[in-house]
Amino acid sequence: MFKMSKNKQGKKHIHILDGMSLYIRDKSPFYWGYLNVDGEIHKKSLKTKDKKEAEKLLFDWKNELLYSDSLNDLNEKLDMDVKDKPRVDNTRRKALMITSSLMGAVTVAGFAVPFLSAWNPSEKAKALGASVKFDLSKLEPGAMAVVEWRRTPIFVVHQTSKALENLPKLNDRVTDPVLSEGVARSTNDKFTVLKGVCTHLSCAPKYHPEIEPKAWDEQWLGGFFCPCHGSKFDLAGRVYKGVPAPTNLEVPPHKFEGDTLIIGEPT
Amino acid sequence: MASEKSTVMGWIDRRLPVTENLERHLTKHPVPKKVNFFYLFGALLMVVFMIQVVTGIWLMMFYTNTEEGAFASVEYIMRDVEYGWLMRYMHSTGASAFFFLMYFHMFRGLLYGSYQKPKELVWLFGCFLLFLLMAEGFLGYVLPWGQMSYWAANVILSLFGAIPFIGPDLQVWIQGDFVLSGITLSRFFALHVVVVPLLMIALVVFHIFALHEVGAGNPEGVDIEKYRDEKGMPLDGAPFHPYKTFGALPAIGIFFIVFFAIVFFAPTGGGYFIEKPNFEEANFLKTPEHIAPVWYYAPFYSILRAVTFGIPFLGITSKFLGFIVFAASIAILFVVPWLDRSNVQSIRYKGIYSKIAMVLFAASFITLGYLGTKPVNELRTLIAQICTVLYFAPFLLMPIYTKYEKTLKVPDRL
Repeated sequence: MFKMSKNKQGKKHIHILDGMSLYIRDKSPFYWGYLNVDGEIHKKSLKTKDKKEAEKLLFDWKNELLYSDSLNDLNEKLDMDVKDKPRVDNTRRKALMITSSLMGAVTVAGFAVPFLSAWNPSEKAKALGASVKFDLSKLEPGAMAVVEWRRTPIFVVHQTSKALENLPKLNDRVTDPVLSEGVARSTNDKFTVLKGVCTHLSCAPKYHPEIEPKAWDEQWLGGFFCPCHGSKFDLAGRVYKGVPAPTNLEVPPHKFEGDTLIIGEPT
Repeated sequence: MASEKSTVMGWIDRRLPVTENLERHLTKHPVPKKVNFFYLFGALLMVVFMIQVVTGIWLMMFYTNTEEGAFASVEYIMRDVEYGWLMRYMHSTGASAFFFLMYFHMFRGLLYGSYQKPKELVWLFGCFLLFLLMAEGFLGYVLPWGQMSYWAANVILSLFGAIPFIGPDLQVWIQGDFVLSGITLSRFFALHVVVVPLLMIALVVFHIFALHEVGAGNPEGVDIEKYRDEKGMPLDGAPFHPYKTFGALPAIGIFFIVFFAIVFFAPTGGGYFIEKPNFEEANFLKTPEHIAPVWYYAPFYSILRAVTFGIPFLGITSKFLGFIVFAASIAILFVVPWLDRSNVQSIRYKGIYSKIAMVLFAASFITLGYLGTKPVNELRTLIAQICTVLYFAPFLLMPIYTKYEKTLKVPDRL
């Protein structure tokens, strides 16, 4: 099967395939391999004395060279590709990232608007919570009207001149006489507007304008008395000392337009 | 591997790793062999969560979320729906049980350092769950639209109104009205039955997955991962299933006995679980004599009320400062993993200062809880102020005393 030949150096060649042969060197006990892969000459000792094994190793070696060559080629090719490719433009990439993030944020914010706005008071709630008008012309001096605004009873008192004279006399008996804002606690010299909710536990204080000794006060000059826990307020809603309620009756936002009182709109 | 089997389970496993995850989280998940009763609360919390979900869904089938219908629909559930009373009382008792177990579960964490590295996330998810539970409880308490529902909600919502500048508008936005009304009720309903429970389920999943990643702790603070047998199972560990699952069964049994004893015989808990004014429909013109929170909020409500002073030159009212301190009392729990500088986990090996701190914390929490359900007077306010300081001190001083105190040597094995 194999042709045997002896060249001039006395080396014994065993031809296997084209560009592929085994040979023996004088001073070596082993078979040597000769490979010509794509015109490149490779020689090495196969480190075996067995011819069959040497043959097998030679084939393996050839495969190895072919494989690694092709791998190298591939790598080189890839390197070339990378070199040929334009470099990543990081500035451009960053700009794109920023603009798309911004656009994303705008989109999220845009979508959030309807969802968050849905939580605002609806038109119905706004209508129910809107300001209320009250005609003051029919309210006699000394009388009180109760107007409902935002589910709260609002007391509208038409003060008598007697009552207004008496208010300063009570300055020492109330916790907070509100001398700076005026003892009548009103922008109008006739009408006082108060939230009819006791500042103690939100009971409804009763209107007692009469000036006469009462069970709860010997020197009663008119005012509000809360039947729940005995809190006393004068006709301007100022709280008496020594009662459970801590603060004066609240004054709701209101304004006067001629004979009309508008509750719910600040002056 | 199970997934190579030509069984139905194998077919499923190749598409969804069921067996792998069961093994990972149940049958092969190692947990410490020796733990104490404090380690049962997690399992019980899962049970209560399931009770709340199931009873909640059934209640939702009969409840009306409108101002006109809410109170009447609860009466209807109680009187006309078959076993409606059971559903409702299980749900309301479940809320109390949830908090009871949660407080013990978290106190266990504080005692045995369950928040320490690498369990910080487990602890953080837990703290978020406490926050969500508090929100869920508050929202749920408004739904029956009783007197206490209405006025307690008013107190809490007015806290938002106390925030400088944006407060009043924020309050109106949350209420959806200028007063607390049916509009508020129906949005609280949506939050209570959908939003918060969804978040809670997600967080429970995170809580457990994070726990299984870092491994459960034990009262000794011993790292069981150090010594393993040839199969890789920690020598001081045992598979979660069946050892811990069956171990928890008696505890679940005992829990059910207590739970149903309350449901059947004392569902209102003497006014602490469901307050008396709540059996009266909400009346916006009549405030109850004394507005008290349910027992599980009482410690925090006490802290809120203990702040009787503001910072006038910063424009901070006492009400708003109270709100800040109240929020801080929950927020401080989140940072505990970074406050503890100790080289040991468990209270058993920590020094004397840590032990004193835990006792003071527990005592102040209970005292604040008692005070929160009572009307205020000067003495009670003073005690609440002292207890508020004692509530915060163990946390604020933690970086100091845990670093310098003398600790004991932790054994190698359980």
